[in-house]
Amino acid sequence: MQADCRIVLSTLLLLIGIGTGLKAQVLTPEDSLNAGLVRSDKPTVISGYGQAKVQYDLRYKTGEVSLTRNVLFVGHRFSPRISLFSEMEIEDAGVEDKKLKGSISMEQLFLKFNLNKDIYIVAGLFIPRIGIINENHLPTTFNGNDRHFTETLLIPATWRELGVGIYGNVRRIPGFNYSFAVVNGLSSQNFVSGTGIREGRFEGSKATASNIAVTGSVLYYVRNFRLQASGYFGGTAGLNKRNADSLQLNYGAFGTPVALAEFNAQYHNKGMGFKAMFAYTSIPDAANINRAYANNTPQAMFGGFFEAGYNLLYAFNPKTTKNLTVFGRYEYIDLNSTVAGNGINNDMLKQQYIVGGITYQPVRGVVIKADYVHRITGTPNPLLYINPYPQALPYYTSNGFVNVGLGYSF
Amino acid sequence: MERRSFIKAGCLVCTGAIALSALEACSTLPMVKAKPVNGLLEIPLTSFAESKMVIVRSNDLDFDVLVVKEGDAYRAMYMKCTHEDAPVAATASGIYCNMHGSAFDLQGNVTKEPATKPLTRFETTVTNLSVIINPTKILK
Repeated sequence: MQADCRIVLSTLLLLIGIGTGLKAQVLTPEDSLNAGLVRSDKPTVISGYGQAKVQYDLRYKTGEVSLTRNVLFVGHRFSPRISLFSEMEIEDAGVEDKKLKGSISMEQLFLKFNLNKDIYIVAGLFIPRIGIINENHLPTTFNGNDRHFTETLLIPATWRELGVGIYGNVRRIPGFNYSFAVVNGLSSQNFVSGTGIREGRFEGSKATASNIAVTGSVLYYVRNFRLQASGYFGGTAGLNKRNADSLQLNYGAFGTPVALAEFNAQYHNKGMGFKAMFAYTSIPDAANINRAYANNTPQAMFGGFFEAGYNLLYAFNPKTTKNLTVFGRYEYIDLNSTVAGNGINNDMLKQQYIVGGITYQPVRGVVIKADYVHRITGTPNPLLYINPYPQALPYYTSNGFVNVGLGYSF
Repeated sequence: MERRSFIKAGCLVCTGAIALSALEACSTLPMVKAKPVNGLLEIPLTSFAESKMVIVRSNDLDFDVLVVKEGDAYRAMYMKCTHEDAPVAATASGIYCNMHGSAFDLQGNVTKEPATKPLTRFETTVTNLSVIINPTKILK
């Protein structure tokens, strides 16, 4: 136990040391499309973001440290109306042959066409406006080392797909924005019980295009509120007729659909911040998916969270650009709230997360985070485990995790 | 927590937020179209008769310019997010980028990341009848 603690402590010190180095990097001036030039003569931008964290599991008394992700952004403006945006992500410091350590993927790659000063179109691999973290996933924009669990398990952020989207704002209603997009659909064959629809994403890699999805949102900035509602409806069976018939699945553009609705509200004022979200997912043909693929897909899932935070430095200096926020968050997720007739209920998928911690930003673009996550779940259904205890490690329905990490974005 | 009570609590929070937001009347910010003369944009002072904020649109600029009146002074800000080249929207409480959620106050300072730099501010001069914006002179 003492040895474990020493290892974790050493790692924390190492991470803090790395953080000092990162600060120096961010302060280096960089050219940018947006550096203040009305017509920039330097149309190519390089920027990025990343985060690392160390986690200590209080039950198993083990620690893990990882370079969670690093993303390189390259943008280029071909003309005042057409720009390229691309983000390449390396998770967990990369991949090695025959070792499943991390992953390399394109997080985004799209062309943006400005139709006028209020409306633009994006085409390519992009992240639709669903939830908060999907679009605002930089580590400097959210509290806690982990992204909201609701937006990891229920809304699979960062959820990028190939397609075309239109974004705009309504000038007659200041602060009112909208978006609508058509993207490729999901694959219900790849759904994994306990991870919602996450594994059904294609993320730009050889997606089936015979099933598609539509998604739309309205976003309204009013007073110090940011209010957003979004929806998604798409097919999950991109099969030909013969295969679909043999699996008894509805195929076509919206065959074997997934529907997701989400609402979130944020409030920021005078150092205070509040966030709330609710999301609901419906998979009406879950029984057909289970019959075809035996992956225990639920018929419905839901979840949400509420978070409150306060920047302590604001109390001393309302004009501060630094941030020392203390925050608390409660999340509730039920990943099999309605089980299909041929599905198996698993109470372990009814999960609560109580998160508390601090977020410190010595300068804009750099963040140091420390938090505690308490996870409470129902009991696992023994019918779903081939090698139960004592062969497998015991499962604790109540467990705590201590996280310390760093992040940057520029 | 039961599903029913969780949904009820979620709906309550959402309804409250919507009700609060509805307290603010929707009003369009006045827009003035301007053509640069010798690189300068000239806006009549009468444009500010009904609002302290005016949007200036010019075909020669890629983005609009927001002019905020504060006493006798006028602040001109380029409505381009300093994060990733998206247009920002101005409201009575601040300036917002809908692309990644960056927020700025009416001075152009960052209030919420991911943007780390303030909005670009242009030099303004005031005459008896107009505000003159110089988009080539950027204030530090």
